Amino acid sequence: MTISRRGFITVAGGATLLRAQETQRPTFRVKVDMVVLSFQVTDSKNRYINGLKPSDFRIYEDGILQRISTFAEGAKAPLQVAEDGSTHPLLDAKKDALPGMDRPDAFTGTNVFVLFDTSNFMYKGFVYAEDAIADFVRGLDRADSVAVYTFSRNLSRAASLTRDHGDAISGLRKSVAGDDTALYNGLLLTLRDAAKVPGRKVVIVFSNGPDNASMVAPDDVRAVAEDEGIPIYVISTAEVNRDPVSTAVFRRIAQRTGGKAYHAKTWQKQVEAFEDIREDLGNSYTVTYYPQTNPNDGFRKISVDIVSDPGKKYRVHSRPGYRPSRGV
Amino acid sequence: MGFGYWTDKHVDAERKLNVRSAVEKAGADAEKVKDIRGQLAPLLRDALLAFSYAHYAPPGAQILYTNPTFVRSHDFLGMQGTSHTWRATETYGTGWPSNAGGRLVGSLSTLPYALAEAEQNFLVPAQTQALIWGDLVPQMIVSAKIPRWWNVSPAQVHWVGLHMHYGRELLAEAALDPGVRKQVVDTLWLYAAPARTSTVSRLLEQGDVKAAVDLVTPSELFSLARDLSTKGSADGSCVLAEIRQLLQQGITYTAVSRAFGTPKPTLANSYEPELLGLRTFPALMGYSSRIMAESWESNALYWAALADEMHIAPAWLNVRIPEWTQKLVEQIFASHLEDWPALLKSLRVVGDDVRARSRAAVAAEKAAVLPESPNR
Repeated sequence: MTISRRGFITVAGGATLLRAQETQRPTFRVKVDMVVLSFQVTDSKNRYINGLKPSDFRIYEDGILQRISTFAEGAKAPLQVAEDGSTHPLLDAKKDALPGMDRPDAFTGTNVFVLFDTSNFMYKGFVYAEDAIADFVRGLDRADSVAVYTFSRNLSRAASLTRDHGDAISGLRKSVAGDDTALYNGLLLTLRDAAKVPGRKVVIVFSNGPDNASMVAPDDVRAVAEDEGIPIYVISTAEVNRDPVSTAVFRRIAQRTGGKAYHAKTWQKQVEAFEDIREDLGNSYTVTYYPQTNPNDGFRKISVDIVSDPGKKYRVHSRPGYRPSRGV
Repeated sequence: MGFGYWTDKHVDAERKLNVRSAVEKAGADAEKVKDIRGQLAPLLRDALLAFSYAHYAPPGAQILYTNPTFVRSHDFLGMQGTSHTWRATETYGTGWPSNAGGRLVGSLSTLPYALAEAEQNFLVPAQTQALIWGDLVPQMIVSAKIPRWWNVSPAQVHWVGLHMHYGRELLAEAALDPGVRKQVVDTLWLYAAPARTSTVSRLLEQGDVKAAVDLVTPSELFSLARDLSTKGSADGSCVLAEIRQLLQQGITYTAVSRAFGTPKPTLANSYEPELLGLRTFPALMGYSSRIMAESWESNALYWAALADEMHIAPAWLNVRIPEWTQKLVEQIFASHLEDWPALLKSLRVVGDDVRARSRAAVAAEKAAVLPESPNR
């Protein structure tokens, strides 16, 4: 994700100037891009590796070494990383200590957007799916915020982003099933909402049917997620897996955004998939950095090296890159 | 036959075209330069198309900003074996996970409606999606995007506002004066459904003006005021006096109808905005239709009255009306196909929100400008 902040620097001072005068004052805009990168580290047996420090990582963009600004593990409070590599809690830092980070508290925990299929395909397993999502929400860390959106032909914001997990479940329980399946339309709108929220975020899609109503293509939506740095986890169930194209698309979207795709045939498998996602969130590392000068305005490849693992025994699971936002 | 896979020669040709290399190769050869100019034709086509698409882009549009080939993929000919040349614009290619997204096919003759139809599902209903959504929303979007208010005068906006005032004034007077009531009910009968007219009549008899006003749509209120403003004396009403004064100053109903009417491509076979003063049409055999949607003329009139009340300059309507319409659509919570009261309620909810925000903004501005009083 890149967060853009446009600072407004005015030349003339004075607290109570008339509006007419204000419009004549020159305004300089400064655009600051901050990249938020989440990833998991696992060993050869797919077990999460925890407890690594900022100094254990080297982040590269197109081979250019980046300087880590903040670092967080799981739902723990984020740390500000000084130039000498020392760390101190970000929440203790001044409000404007880091450009683009007006709300350091937003970087504690994860903003989880659950996108739940309520189209005609869901009549059969609707209640089970609801239960699986409710269990997942209940099990989230207290620091995590959650929003529950549903989609059929349109998107519906069943519960807006909240730290009150009870509210989210209450919104979920009000959802109703019916109508066409416009998954990628709904996913696009969810990503647009998620992009407005500072901090780390993920989108979890629960879909039972192949898309039959979207106007946007999956890869265009995937590109939005990639550029905004929002991992997409997809749990697909029985119906969708009869359509090999949809299955391949789900895998591609998940892989390219740093998420995962699950094929859950039964409701027990759905619960397991949600459990796995929760594990992923709790065992993730999140770093932020301000990209070094890079002439590449196209796709920038991100790589994460672990310096404390010279034998390369660990695997890093992250998004492959992003396209920088164009602006001033 | 679906639209999942296709080859698009037009886009392929653009991809292969390297203008710099072609110009360098052509050198000073006039014929070759002429050829290059010809090769630029598809790009020029796309630029012109993009202007049209952008001009009619509905509020909250997503496809235009997400699908980089949406405009380029416009297909004037249609699928192999069919001819869409000069036919109405249609949407193809939705719901195919392997394709490049939906695209429009056919001529540009009904582009605004096709775009509105394609983009309507990106609006997010505040409640569970309403039944009335399907045909009504594209028509509402078209009515907010086709008319432009650059040449509308503040006096015309005020004229609409005065009509709304006068309509309410007439209803209030009808509760007290049986003579006026008869006139009002007889006139309302021409524009509103019989059942609703009877209810309004009964409420007026009972003296419940507020409930009666709540049942009358802005277009009915406007028509009522328009019809009755030409009758009787203006002695008792300063609003009517002002309406007549503006008439003398050159405000014409035709100009107002064009400014705040709605396009009716199905009913009138034209995109020219106009007010027809129709009764709202019923659903046909259980289905809503574009004719039904086109019979709703209240939005622009309500927005004009709101702009008059908020002192919003007419040029700003070009921005505000699409925004307000988006909010209006998102607030609709209808329970059946002809749930016009749900629309009316949504209109008023958006209007109240605009008023509240405006008041809050004015209060904040005053607080910022006025120095802190020592007595506070």
